[in-house]
Amino acid sequence: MSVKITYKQQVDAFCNEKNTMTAEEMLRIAKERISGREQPSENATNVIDLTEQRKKRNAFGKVLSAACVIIVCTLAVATTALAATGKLDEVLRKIFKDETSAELVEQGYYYEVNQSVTEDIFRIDLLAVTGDAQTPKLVFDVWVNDPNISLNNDRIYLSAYTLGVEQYENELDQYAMCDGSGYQDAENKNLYHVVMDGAPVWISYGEPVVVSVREIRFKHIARSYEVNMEYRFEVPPMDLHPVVSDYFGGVLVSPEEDGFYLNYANYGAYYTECIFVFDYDGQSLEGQYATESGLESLLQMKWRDYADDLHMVVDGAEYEAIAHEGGEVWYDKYGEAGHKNRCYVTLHFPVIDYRSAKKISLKQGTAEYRLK
Amino acid sequence: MKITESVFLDVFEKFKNTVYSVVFNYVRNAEDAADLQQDVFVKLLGSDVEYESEEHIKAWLIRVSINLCKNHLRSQSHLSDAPLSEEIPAEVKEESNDLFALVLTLPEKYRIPLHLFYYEEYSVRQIATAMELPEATVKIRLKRGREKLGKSLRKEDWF
Repeated sequence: MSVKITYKQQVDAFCNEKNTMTAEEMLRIAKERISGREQPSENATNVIDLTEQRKKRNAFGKVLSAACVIIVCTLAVATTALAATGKLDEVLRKIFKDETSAELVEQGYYYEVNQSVTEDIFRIDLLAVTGDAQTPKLVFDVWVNDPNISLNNDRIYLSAYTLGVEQYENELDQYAMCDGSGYQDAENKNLYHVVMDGAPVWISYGEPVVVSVREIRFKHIARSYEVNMEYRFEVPPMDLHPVVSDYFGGVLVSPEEDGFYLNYANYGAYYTECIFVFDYDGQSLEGQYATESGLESLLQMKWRDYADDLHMVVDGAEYEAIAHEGGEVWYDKYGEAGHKNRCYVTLHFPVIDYRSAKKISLKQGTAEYRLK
Repeated sequence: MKITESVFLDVFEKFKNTVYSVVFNYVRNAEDAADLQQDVFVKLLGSDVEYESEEHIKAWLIRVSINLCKNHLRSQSHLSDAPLSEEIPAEVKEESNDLFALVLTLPEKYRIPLHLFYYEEYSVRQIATAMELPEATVKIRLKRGREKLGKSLRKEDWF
């Protein structure tokens, strides 16, 4: 008997033993839980617009009105102070030790969201979005109205969906949440500051976006608090630090003709990202390696050998790549992205001041390839 | 195909082991697995998706199971700064002669692709879609997962 059949039989036997619920029981439970979910909750949620300034920036007022229609009931408006620029950069610098983001705020690269949602013992203010177009960062203040929590917990963790409206409303189950972590305020123990990296594909390009906080956790509390606190807004693209993107369309940056080709170099505020492609002659390599897994291993090795010896040179100064181990090869065997048998790899370098740099190049061994 | 009550009953019978085995593979304890399985089927009944076929429903269930498990494990991980333990739970040790138990001893990143490959007979592409991973990563994990099992099994038995 093959291992596959044995495995299936053992899994089924295990599941049948442990998993004794009938379909009818499951249906009853599901119906109860769904009908319970639709009941008006005692834990009212309210959405509060904290600034007049935000209303003027775009058509968000219409979105907020729509959001207000669907909330269960409205409580008194909380009176959080508007996040002043000084406070925001201070939080990023002192609490998160994030000098880059603090400087971006000081340079005006942030968008004030300033929406507040209250649920149970929590009030979460989504203060602002800052960062650059490839790494947008969401900055929250979380107010906890429970002294027992505040007394024993200096760390907090949030999980939230950060999606486009279409994805949020129709395809939510297909996406995982983003995580953010934060620290208790030094003076006000009921207040926690949280920063979360959002999904750039929706946040950074001026599209309507939904941020929905679903879980709140604390370091020393076993349970997690499930909430549904929703924020809808659009970030004007100019409010985030731009990422200069140079498209090379496949310039050979390797001494070998069957080597790596550069497609993009993206110069951001947090890192410089190079995206390479490599087209394999699948026939010859698959002839040498009997399995696809063997082929993949070869790709990985070839990439690491190449990347180990690759430097970015900016006006004579050489920079090594940042931890390219993390950039695994994506092999498009079926041509889903347009090119069959093409593999894509990314490599991060330190931040480059693209505007002031006179010459930027990639150096591989003795060969140098000019990018600017 | 909409999820009516009769469709739900039929789907539960057909795919309850699919869902349970995936969530158990992630959490490796019966109590959490039962809760997560319930969550998955509650989402199914509450979903407003127009499914094309039973295979579509199955793919949806697996995708949702994986996402719920990831969220569940993330909510557990905040309790300690240490990484989640890969120690084998007692109920898995009980089945120590079992091939399934052997797979459960592997790190998560290997056991989930292996499970989908051998139990669901999913292709690398389907696993990559379900787990939101590049196909290359799935292939490498399948290969390394098999290698880790290799000490216990004859390699040719896996194909």
